[in-house]
Amino acid sequence: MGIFDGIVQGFSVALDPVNLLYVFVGVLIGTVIGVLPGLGPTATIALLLPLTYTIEPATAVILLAGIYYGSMYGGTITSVLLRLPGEAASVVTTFDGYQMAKQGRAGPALGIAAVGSFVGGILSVLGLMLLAPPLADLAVTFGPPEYVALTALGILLVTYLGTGTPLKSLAMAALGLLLATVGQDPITGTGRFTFGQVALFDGVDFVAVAMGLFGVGEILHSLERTEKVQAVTRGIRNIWPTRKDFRDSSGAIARGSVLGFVIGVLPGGGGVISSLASYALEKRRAKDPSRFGRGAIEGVAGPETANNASSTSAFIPLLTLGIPANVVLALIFGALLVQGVTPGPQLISQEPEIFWGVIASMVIGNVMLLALNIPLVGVFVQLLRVRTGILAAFALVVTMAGVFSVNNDSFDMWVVLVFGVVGWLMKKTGFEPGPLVLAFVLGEIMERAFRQSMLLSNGNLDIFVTRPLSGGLLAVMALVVVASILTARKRRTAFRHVDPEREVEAGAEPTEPTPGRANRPTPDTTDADVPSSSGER
Amino acid sequence: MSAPARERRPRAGARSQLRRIAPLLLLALGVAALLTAQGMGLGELTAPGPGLWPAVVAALLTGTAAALLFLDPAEDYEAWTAGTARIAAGLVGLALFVVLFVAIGFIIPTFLLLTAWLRFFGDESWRMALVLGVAGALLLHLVFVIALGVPFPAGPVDQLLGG
Amino acid sequence: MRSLRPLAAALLVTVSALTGCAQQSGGDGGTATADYPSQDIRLIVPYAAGGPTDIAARALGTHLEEELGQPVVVENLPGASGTTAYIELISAEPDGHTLSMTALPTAVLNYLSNDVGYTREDFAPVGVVTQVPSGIVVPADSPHQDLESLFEAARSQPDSIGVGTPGATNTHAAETRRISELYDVPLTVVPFDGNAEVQTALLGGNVPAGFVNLSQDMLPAIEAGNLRVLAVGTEERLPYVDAPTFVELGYPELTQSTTTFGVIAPAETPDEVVATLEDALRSAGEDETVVEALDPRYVPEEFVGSAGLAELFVETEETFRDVVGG
Repeated sequence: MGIFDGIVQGFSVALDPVNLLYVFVGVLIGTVIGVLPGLGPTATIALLLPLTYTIEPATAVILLAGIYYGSMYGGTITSVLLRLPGEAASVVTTFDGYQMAKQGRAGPALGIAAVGSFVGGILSVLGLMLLAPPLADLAVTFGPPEYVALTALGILLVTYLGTGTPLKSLAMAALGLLLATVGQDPITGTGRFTFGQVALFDGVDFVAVAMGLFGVGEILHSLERTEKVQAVTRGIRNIWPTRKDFRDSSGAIARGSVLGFVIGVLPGGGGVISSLASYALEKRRAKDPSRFGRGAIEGVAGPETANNASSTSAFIPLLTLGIPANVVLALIFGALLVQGVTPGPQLISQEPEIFWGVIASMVIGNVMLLALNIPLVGVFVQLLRVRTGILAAFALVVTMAGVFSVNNDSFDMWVVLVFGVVGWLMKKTGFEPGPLVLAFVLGEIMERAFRQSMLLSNGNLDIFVTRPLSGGLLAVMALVVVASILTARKRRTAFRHVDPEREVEAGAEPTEPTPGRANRPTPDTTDADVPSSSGER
Repeated sequence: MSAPARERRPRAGARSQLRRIAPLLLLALGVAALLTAQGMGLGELTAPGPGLWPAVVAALLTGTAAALLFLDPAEDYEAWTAGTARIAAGLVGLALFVVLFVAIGFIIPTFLLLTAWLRFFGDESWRMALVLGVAGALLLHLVFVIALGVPFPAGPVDQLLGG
Repeated sequence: MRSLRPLAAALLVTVSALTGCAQQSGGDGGTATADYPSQDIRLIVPYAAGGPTDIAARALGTHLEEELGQPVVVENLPGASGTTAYIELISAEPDGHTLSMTALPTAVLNYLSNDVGYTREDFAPVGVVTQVPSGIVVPADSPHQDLESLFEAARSQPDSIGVGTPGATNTHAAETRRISELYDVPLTVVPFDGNAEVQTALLGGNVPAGFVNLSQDMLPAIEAGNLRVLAVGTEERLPYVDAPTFVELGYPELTQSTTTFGVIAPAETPDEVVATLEDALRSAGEDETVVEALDPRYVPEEFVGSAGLAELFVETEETFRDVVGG
């Protein structure tokens, strides 16, 4: 069947009234849970999974996919207005989005995010239609050495692109990798760091760790602050960005679409990495990187585009190979299996109504989301008029109940608590949770792939460099590292500019021991801030 | 546009202590993990043992933590404030919630946590806190137990609500 | 809160609408023997929602509901290769109102390799639901047309043949090690995370062979000719896979790789209750809708009941006791 026939068939499936209803319900739920901190797409889909068992398979996936990309839109709102990411992929949006809101430009921030998400989503759907089969062919040749290189690249990127000191990010990545080794050894089955606890045999649950570090950690931290963080709801009346905003962010949206699409296809990719990568790319491309972290509209447009693009392209490995690229897709994979449909190379030919129906529904869903997000954004924002104390209390209970429901195990609630404390302490000490969480997810894949590679090559490390794909990836990484060392000084100053609060202090601190600090050059990027803080020396 | 300078600056003494403690904790964790991993058996590259990978990772953690002892920019750290006591109280509340949840189910601990949190941390009036606590507990029970069928531990109120 | 309400209500309405669609008409008019069952029956699934065990449990749950006249609540308790669920099961009242799905040999391998707090003595087996066979597969472009060719390559060049398995502690890894021990064929076990990953590695040419479940997710690739089955681990040939058995090829010991999905109750459950459940399970194998949901290829032709499953537990334990020790 040609692509054209497929598209026609897809729309005939997606425009079926029942399916239309489910797309709408999906994107609505997705937006709502994206807005509400503490309940992300993973927990929601896990909760709704049993309910999909009795509906048509295509309809089930249409619903679940709608929740997934709907949450990508919704997550923006809390990030911009509250500086609290509604779901993990929107962490990056807090950097510039919240600053824009403080400057009274919350409206354009939300507007450009919605437009970017829409463009990214639609382009990604087009890519999915055209490129799914050839991309699947390429991806299938990836073996264990490639997975090692890919995951290492992911961890390198997140430490290098993070917002804090790279060394601290690396320490957190190491902690995440260590945490990933808790539980049964993937190769020999021996228990590691389980302290005799059966609950730890399968390791620490990802959802619990992420919710603890991001959600509970943030809420605890906010308890300590004496001043009230109130949602910035000024300037939401003008949602539609200005012509200049569009001009400034069109490049970011275009690049974000491509980047998000590519990263979404990669295993372990998805929302968080794609938005981080897009942010870093925009910052590196910018003539004046210091604008980032202070309300640069590209810093909102790029990542928001990328995370939605990736949430769509992540369906490629699932629908063509039967490989879920991230946790959410693993759940959707399960939903299909329950229906007796096995995603894999034969899916497109054997169950075209699922493949094309889901794709067509994504077009419709993205249009609905644009409609929901532009004129109706005010309605969602009402959600944030609720006093933060109330929001926090409910977010806590929902987080706890949500975490319990993933595995129906109260042990995970303790995990959330522990990681809540850890997350709070990390905030106090300037460590970032991002690298930890990502390394935690990638760590398991990385170790398994590393040891598989060793088994396949009889312990010969050459396997990583002699294979063209993994060798190439490693060469790219080496280049990145070398380049970053060469430009270290410049970069160090750039990093300081991400978080303005930290930035002010950086200027004020005379005891900074890092070499190169003394001759901090590039007055064009740093000096603007020094006067504001020098009085405190 | 830059954030207001915080009042934590004068507490330089406490801060300089803290910045040693954080890397030291990581260092201790790294070394402990390294030793444990060695105990699991490192194996060889041809047949890596269960401890090899944790050892590599723990070594990375130990190394970065050691470097951080000397290289860590102190300005990353926030001082301890009087608010820390509130966090301890919040944590005790949450821990109590989990214990009660396991013992008597979802709805009563949820009501208690919501009410207490709203009253003491949210500065709502008792009336508001109670109303929201009851309404919230019922609503969440409806969503999680009735609509989604999550098997929360059974409790005394569940029969009344038809859990 | 006032402004929150409409949205929360909208969410609730959509959610309950979905629930409405999803809820099946409960079974009534059952023929309950004596006073069992007198309340809801919990059917614990030791694996996550969406997996094969979960699918089987839900099909079965609907049927048991009709047979027994009490609601059957399927509950997923994934974790620790099923250990979490089994511990929950044996701590429940042994009155037949708490049951669990089980997967053999994983359930046995768990307690053979670690101290997990249960053994087969803690269970009262009820019966077998499905049996999923396993086999050795190679990619279509592999030079090995038959099992002998593959084993010969391994013998002539030790450790050159990696065999992908869906896990580290499951039957496939154990069975592959048994091949090495019993028949002196040096194969390297390369554990992956699940059947699908082995399949991908095979299709990508990243592992020369795989010892996998011939389950629903593997069959399409086999039928399409992308994968070739060299041998199956059953006593007799399978009607839906064109490949010889290990037994035919001269490896009579290799019949332990089939995964058996069954239902168990806590030990001490009264015999009459187990018998009632056994009957209900037997009738499930005759109900066409249930069989269709379970996949007819995997439903045993002859029902294996309580005694049969108990025997299987003992047999599995004996087979793998020595392999796992190391």
